[in-house]
Amino acid sequence: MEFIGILWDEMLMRPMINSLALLAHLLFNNFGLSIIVFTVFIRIVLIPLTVRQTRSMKKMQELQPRMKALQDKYKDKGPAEKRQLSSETMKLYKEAGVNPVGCLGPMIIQMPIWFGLYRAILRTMPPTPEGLANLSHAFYAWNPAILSVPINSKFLGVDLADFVQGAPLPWNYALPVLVGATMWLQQKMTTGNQQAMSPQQAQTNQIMLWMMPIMFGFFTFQFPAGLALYILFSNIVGIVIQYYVGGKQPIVLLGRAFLGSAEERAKALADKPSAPAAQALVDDDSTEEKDEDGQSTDVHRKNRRRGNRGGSGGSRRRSRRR
Amino acid sequence: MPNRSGYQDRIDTKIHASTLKTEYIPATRHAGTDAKTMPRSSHRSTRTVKLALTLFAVLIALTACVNDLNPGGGWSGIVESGDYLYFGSKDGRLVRVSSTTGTFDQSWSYPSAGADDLGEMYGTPAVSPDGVLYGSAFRCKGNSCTGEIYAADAISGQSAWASGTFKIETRLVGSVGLGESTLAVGTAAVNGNDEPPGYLLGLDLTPDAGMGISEQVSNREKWRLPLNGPVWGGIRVSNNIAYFGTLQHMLYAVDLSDKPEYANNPESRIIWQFHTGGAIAGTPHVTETNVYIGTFGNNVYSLDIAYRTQNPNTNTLNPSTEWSFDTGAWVWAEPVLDNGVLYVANMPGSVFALDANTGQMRWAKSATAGKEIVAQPLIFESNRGPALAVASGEKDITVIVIATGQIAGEFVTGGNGIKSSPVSYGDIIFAHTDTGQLRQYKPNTLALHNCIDVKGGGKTCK
Repeated sequence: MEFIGILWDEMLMRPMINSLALLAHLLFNNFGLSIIVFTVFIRIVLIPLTVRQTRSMKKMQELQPRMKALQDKYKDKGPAEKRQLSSETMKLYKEAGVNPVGCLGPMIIQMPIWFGLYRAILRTMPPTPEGLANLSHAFYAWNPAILSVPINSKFLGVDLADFVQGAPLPWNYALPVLVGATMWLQQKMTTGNQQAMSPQQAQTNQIMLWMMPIMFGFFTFQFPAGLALYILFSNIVGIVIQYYVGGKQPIVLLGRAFLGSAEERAKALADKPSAPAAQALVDDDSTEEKDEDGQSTDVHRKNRRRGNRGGSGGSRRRSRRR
Repeated sequence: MPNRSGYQDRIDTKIHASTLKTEYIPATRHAGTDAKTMPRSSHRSTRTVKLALTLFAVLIALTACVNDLNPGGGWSGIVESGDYLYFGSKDGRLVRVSSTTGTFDQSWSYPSAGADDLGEMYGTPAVSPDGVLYGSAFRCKGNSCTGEIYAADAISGQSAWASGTFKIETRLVGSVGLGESTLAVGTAAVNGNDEPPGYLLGLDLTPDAGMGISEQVSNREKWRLPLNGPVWGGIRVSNNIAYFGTLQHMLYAVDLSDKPEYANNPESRIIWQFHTGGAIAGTPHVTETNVYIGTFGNNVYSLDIAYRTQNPNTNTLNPSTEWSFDTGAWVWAEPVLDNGVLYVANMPGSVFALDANTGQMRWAKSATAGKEIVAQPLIFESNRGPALAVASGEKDITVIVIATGQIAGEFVTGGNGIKSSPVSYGDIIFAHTDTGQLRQYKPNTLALHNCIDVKGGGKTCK
């Protein structure tokens, strides 16, 4: 256990504490800016993983019809056939070169960073004398930031070492909401075509889509504000990366989430007495061609312009149908 | 461009899909499908959710386990009054042991057993000539803290103030300073306000004992002086002037007297202030002529009180009477002066013997015990002559012969750290550990003489 503790300290805690303190030292003793720059750096380092995960998820989405067919084939069969289903499913994954739980990859990778950052934030801005005494061990001798201790823990009026629930209004509520909302949007951007999935898979995705952001938003109250700031900016950077890698427009998705899709809006209006308005809306919306993902061709066109083949899977399928 | 009917078809398809979905789930449930017969994808879905939940539970468990926001019970030093040694226990009470026998007095504590404890006690209590113990403590919930300043009669264990403790919404970390008629207390920011980040409080020392209700002090706070940062170090008082530093690098000299001109302008109490190169978490060592202070800027400073008083706004050192010495690491522990030599220990455990007049180094030695030196070293008489006992916040107390700078051995603390200064009474050295033990050593043999687990109610420990 002691070895794990040393490993944890030397591999994660000390580099994090020194990086955060050094950034704060260079950025006008501003720990908030330090966390933001640190977050961007971490997300940049994780870009290869994010890209691989995004592509893996796209492959998973493409496999869904075949998965569904397999499940239908073995539906209501005995245990031996179920094993066969399992074997064939794994074979399918192997052929496609995807990991069925790959969607959790970046989250799993980020977990130690979250744990480490939680400790690093509290250790870099210790609120107790014991913490301050401990901090002296953490600094590298060459780090000029050691002379800047205690580091200013205030950022936009929020004490980054204090719990979010202790932050002044509106930050004590805004931070959890922002964390939850950005996490939802990021998850939404990575969630595949629901209709191509089995009902269970779609249900799981729905649960994950809502459960994780709500839980994170809720538990953000208990996090130090600095960690909330990290998660928030990590999500924002993740959305930007996802936008460029995955090609799904966050604004479009946000619009769909709150206003519903064009079809849903049309149906809602059609149910009302003012049907001509619905007709107008449908005519208006239908000028924008949609593929089976519900993504606009504008998005695909944009992706094609960027030369991102991964983002134009829906277009290729549409071409095949034609 | 698709026509309306084509578009409507797509809507129908979607509605149909959603109908299928909503029908499928209850159908599965109603069929009484158990885990064994559930489709493999459902197993996978459940696994994924379980995995996510487990990861999240681990995250929450870890965040709940770490306790960095909460103080660890303080590290109160020891003070003598009468035949007893008094110190703050890890349980948040002032307790005492006999200075002659070293036995724990279970019948005495402040607050008394059954009453609420005071919280974390870091500072060493101060004792007045009339036998009243003064000190401070605080407790926190997150970053919201309540401090209490107490005055306890050393004999009866009762409060010397009729109103009980003086409470204020802040952290009270350092030791209080006892002036002629004023108790000086350093604070952090009060009531959660960012500005000012700290105060020096002047409290009325007049005891209420034996006074009629009309003669009792109704408001203990006499004045409140805003500071540039929180005070975590102790306050030393010399000639009714308080010397202390803030975490924002400033060393202050503040007049504690009750001159009328101070009434409307507390800031006029500041006789001089000096901006050092780093945070001050320790206590200054004060003589009639000089103030010695270690900082997190790695330096120890010797400041000439007379020169500072004449030049209150000068921030450069007077080369003829003042000096600074770079120890290469943070200095938290209060320096100690003996026969014109200043002994300074930095956080990683390097001990320096410096000429008090010039700052020239006589010798330097690394303590062989652990690091994290926070406590002022103790000078005591060992079997090899005067020696320095340097307590480590990690473990053990290094003994260094002051004449030569050679290591004479260690007081073994059983793996316990010590962050409060050891004290010597009679032929015993007492050390209060971070785990709540009072360890007693023979200075000649460095052997453990006795050990009391104060936190455990006075049981004997090893």
